[in-house]
Amino acid sequence: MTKSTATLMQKEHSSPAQLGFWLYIMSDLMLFAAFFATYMILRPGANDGPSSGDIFDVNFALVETLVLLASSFTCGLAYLAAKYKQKVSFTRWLAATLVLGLVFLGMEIYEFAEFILAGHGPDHSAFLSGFFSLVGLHGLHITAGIIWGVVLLGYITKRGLNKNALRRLGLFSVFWHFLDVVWIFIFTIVYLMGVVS
Amino acid sequence: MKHKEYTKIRDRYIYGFFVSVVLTGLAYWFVVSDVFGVGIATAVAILLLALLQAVVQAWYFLHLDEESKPRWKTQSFVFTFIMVLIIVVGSLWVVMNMNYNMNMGPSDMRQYMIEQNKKGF
Repeated sequence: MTKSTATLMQKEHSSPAQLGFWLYIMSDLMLFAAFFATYMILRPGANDGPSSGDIFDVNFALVETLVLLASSFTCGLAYLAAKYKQKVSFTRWLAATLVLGLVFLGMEIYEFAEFILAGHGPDHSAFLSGFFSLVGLHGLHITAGIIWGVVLLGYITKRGLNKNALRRLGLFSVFWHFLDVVWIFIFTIVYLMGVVS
Repeated sequence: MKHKEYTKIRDRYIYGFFVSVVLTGLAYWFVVSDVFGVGIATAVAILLLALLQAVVQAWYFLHLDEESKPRWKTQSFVFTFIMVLIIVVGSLWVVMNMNYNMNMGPSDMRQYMIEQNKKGF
């Protein structure tokens, strides 16, 4: 890494807003940890209904994972383009991020609807309650992130890439990357492990 | 000069993305083709892959490695990781231990509670 890159990053990281937001993300991680623990404990409680191996479709979850990963990637590129004041390429990357986020959210909702219509709603068993809570919590975060992203896109289209916009975009990208990190564990612990055992 | 920095940071994102895709694919392959043949070995392997991918993304997407001293973000991240481990492993341990020691099904449990209630606590 060149010295100039280091100073560039340094300047950003010393901002109190960035650190404060980072600490919020850390507390959010602990919230997710509680939901993960709840899910793992409740998983054996299938109440004569379907168990995790019966209903989870790993291929579907793999596509979800790749879509969210791609959106995390384009979000990083959008932030990079914004930092170098390339407004056209920024708009494209952020729009791509939001579209991929919407596709992901749509897939989550589709899966929920499919389970509920088949009679495997959250009220059926402890296992399904835990599943809907954990994945639903993640979906709520994604929804909030998409709303935030749309507002940012509108703001920047109108006001341009000023200092405020860059700071907000920096916080948004941290939030979005964090959601992808949480999803890695949902994919591994809920979907992949659900099929293993 | 600016252009050089730009490509450098962009390449970091591309690198992080490809490593993440490979790690995800590897975990998927382990499970779907049952490479290890033993459930517990597969579970441990994919958990390790997930942890590795989390570190890769913290490095290449969240730029934790480029943080200057004092590394507040890294410190709080490590602290949170320890807390998460205590919450998750601790909860599982306590409940599994309880299930093992109680060793009774729901119907026996119900009968036991009724008897205890009759005695008065």
